[in-house]
Amino acid sequence: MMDNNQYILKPAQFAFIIFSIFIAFILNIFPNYDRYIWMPDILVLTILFWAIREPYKINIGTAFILGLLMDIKYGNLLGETAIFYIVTIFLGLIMQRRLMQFSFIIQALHLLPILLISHGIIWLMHYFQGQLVSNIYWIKPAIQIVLWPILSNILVLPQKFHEKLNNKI
Amino acid sequence: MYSSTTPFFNKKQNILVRFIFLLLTCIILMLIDSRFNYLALIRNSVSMIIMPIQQSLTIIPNNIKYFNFYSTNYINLVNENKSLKEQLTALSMHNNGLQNLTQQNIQLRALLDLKKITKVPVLASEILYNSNNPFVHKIIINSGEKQGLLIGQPVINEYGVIGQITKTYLEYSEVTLITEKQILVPIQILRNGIRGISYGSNNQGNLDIHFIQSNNDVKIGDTLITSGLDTIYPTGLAVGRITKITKSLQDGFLQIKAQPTANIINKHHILVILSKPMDFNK
Repeated sequence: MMDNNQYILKPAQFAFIIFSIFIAFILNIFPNYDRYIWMPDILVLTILFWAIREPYKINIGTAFILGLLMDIKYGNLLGETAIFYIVTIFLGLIMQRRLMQFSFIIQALHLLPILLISHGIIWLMHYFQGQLVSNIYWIKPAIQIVLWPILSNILVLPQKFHEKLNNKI
Repeated sequence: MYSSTTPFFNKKQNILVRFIFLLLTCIILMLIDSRFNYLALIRNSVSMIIMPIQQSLTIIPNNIKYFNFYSTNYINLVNENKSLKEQLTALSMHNNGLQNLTQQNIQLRALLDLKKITKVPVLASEILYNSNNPFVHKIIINSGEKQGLLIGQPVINEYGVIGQITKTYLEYSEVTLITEKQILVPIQILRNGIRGISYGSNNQGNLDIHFIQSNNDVKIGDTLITSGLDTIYPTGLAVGRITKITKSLQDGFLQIKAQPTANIINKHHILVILSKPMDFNK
């Protein structure tokens, strides 16, 4: 893991943020992407990443709209995924100042309770309706935190590249 | 490392207020969506935007599949063709016998003055994708209100009953599988005609058979077919096979578990039976 505290990066370009969220959305609705229960939700990780880094550009509202889109796409009850998204982003934003001090791996450890809480809320909502799920469901947050450092490093690439160019000049 | 977009003097951004507002919106939306049908218009119009994206995405894996198919599977294809021909001859012999029986049945029914069994129209359709929700097992198929589908119509494939249509859109509709708790199928045992009702048992992908009394003759391995007592499912579609029988002492009924015969994994084609169920929209 690279040491993140060495330099301050320039803010990400808004176009790139939108582009990355769009790609994550496409991946998420890719046919048969979620054949298995434990397949990670890349979209929520991407929104969370930008919400933590650029809270004035991406916030809970973005999560809400994208959550509703996912609900409509999969024919869920309207608002079900949206709740999952806004709870995750909200908890992430509460810890935003703290999270920004750490490297991506430590961030991932902080995200584990956040993801467990938001997955737990969804689990409870269905539990009260009598809809059960196998325990493999709980592997999903674990896989997502493993994915977090990888995804973060990919999303931060353009900024790092920009920084290197500037240093050369 | 923090990004320099964070202003020097922190403008107070009321995350909590916004969060609570959106949370309430979500809850209200869920309540409206589960009780009423007002949001169908929004769903239809938004899905009109998403569906083209989705459909263009399906082209990629399909093409990869076809490429593999053409490049590697020649011998498999020949073998498959051979076995299919054998199956065809066997089935056509079977079919001849059936035609004879059907004719006899019609004559006998006419003699006995029984009601005629009408053939129900069916519509062939394709599975677009599975729902991502691990709690409710649904599939999305590529025909909808335009093709005249209604909520409640049963969906089958060559192996038996898959489920029932639970939501219809303009171009596609949602099918909830019979292994879900809210889907009930009236069944009878093929061997002796004992009737019961099959309930979905949720996450195990099994069926629970209710209302079969404990003095009845039920064996493991018995085939279950639809009884046709409701007006929705036609008689005689395969539903499942009994895998476990337990006698409970509390009430006079058997606790029976069954395995559904229809398997949707790796199957793409389904049939929708165009029966006319009650209008659930009213």
